[in-house]
Amino acid sequence: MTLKVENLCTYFFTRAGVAKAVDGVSFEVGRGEILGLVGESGSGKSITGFSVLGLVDPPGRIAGGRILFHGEDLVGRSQGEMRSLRGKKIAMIFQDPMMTLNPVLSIETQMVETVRAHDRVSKAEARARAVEALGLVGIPSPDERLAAYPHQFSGGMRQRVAIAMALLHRPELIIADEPTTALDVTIQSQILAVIQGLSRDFGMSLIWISHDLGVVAGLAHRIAVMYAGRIVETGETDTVLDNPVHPYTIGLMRSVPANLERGEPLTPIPGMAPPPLGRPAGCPFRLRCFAATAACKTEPEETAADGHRWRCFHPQIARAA
Amino acid sequence: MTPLVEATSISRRFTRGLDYAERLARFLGANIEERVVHAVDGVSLTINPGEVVGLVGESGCGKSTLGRIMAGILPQSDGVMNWQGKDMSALPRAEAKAARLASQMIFQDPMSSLNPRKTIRDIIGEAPVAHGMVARRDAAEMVTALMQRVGLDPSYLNRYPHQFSGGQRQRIGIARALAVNPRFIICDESVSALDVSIQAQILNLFMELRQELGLTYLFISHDLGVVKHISDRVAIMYLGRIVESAPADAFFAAPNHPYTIALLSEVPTIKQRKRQFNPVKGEIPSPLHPPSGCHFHPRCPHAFDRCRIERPILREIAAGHVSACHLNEMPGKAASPAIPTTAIA
Repeated sequence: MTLKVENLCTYFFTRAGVAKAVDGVSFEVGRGEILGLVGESGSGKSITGFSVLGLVDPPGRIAGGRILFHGEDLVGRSQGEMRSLRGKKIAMIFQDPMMTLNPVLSIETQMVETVRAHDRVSKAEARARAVEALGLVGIPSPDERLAAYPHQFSGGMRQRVAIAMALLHRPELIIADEPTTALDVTIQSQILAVIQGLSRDFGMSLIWISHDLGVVAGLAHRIAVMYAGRIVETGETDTVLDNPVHPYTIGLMRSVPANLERGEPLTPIPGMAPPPLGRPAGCPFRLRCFAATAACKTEPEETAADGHRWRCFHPQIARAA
Repeated sequence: MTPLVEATSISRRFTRGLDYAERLARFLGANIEERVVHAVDGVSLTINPGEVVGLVGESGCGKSTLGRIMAGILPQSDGVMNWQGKDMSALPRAEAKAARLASQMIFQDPMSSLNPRKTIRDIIGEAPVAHGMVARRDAAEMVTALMQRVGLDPSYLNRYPHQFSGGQRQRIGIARALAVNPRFIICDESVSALDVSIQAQILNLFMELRQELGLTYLFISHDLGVVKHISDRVAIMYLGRIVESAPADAFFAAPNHPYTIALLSEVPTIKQRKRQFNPVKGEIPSPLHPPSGCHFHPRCPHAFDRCRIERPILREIAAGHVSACHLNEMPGKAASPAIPTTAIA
């Protein structure tokens, strides 16, 4: 198992109270596996990714749980130890490639620097690796493009450069936080094709964080749906999408127009997601849930059946969504 | 039936003039020219009363510019805009004002389209009071009614935009547009920034309002799924031109233009699992230097010599279904989807 997260809790200790951004999240990612982490804004999906990389800044910190990377716990590691791991064994791709790229340095400077941060190699060798990585993500004439600056690339090309930088050390795990959300459909498709090929060819594990069930369905082997800091349902992609049992997952699928026939009315989830400081006791979804009863005022434990897990007192097992 | 709005051969160019240094350089023989962006390039679009037209395209294709021209808030460079059959530029003042009031726009980001220093009462009530549609003392009552109509709690009357969530702010934007009794609503990516569960609430609100108030919509979006859900007719734009337009059912059943087919096959849906992504090559060209002939030819898998030279015109290929592709004039050659697109979007 490349990554195993057990009962991860990442809390933000603010003056207004403790915001439980991630509240008891467990999942695993095997070698070469793609896990789709789905949720709406504020569900804690990005903070889960940041936690794995040790990138949670005060007032936030990991308040509990374990992050096992090849069996070794990353929680409590020093900044120096995490730094030797980040970019080398675990890499991250962000929604906005300009978060990765420095606007005032050429791509070559940045990529050579990234290679030499972990490996003691000559500049020429580092440059050769940069050219190779740019080629892998489909940048035309990579040798010449190395001299360019980030602003000389289009949005889609910048994201390719960011992916190429993440690939420089052939990491075992890449955490991708909404990397195609800001891109146009045809460009998104190109990036997805690149990522899919790389994961297959190099056996790279991938955590794909997205709000878009459609993208995740096309890419992921397994899906985890997050709501208010918890994973409410997880399982094989086909299982979760064909037989969703958690009312939130069902609601999410019914809200997406593309999943329906034309003219079929949308069934939105009423209300909105509770703020992290104002979550109701018990199941955080109960105030928006069509199946909620008095039982939901206590917190549901996780139920598991054949690798399909959910947290709900009223799983909609018989119904097809 | 007289169309409500009719755009005929509308073009819009944005020009960036030369500064002093550039003029001097040109005088000395440097090859510098004014930069002209052809945001909209000879587009015709007719919208009938009560219709919902979905305008789809990727970033930079000119869909927002076209929307603004149709809303009457941006003048066109060339072409004629008709409002209820009359040329807008030739309307008498009073009628022109009425036409502008009857067209209202709802934007993508309500935070940048709502004044952060005004209360909801002022944001929604300002326009109808200014236009004498309601007396100032009755404004609060009217705003309350509108807030209820769009699903906002009227007790929030005196709150400011930052005190609302994204979905609620979008409802404020809708109430503001409705306040002047419009007939024609232009939604420019109005649900794109919202979470899916909230997006569905707003889409349902749009459909309810259409039924109740008999509204006509131009629904601009990059999301084919949303457009398929809401539209009666769909128009696809690519680099300043409409390349295909058809009634929604016909459009999704038998898309014709190679760009449309590529777009449809690349929309991710939950029906396609662990799929092989097979994207169309290349990037959207810059509107500063659009390709010759058919704008799509550098990326088109079917392109041939004629596509590089001659601009294809929109030809009717079925009732109400027009497409701008040279392949349609060659029997048996028209592009067809590699996979059935009926399952998509």
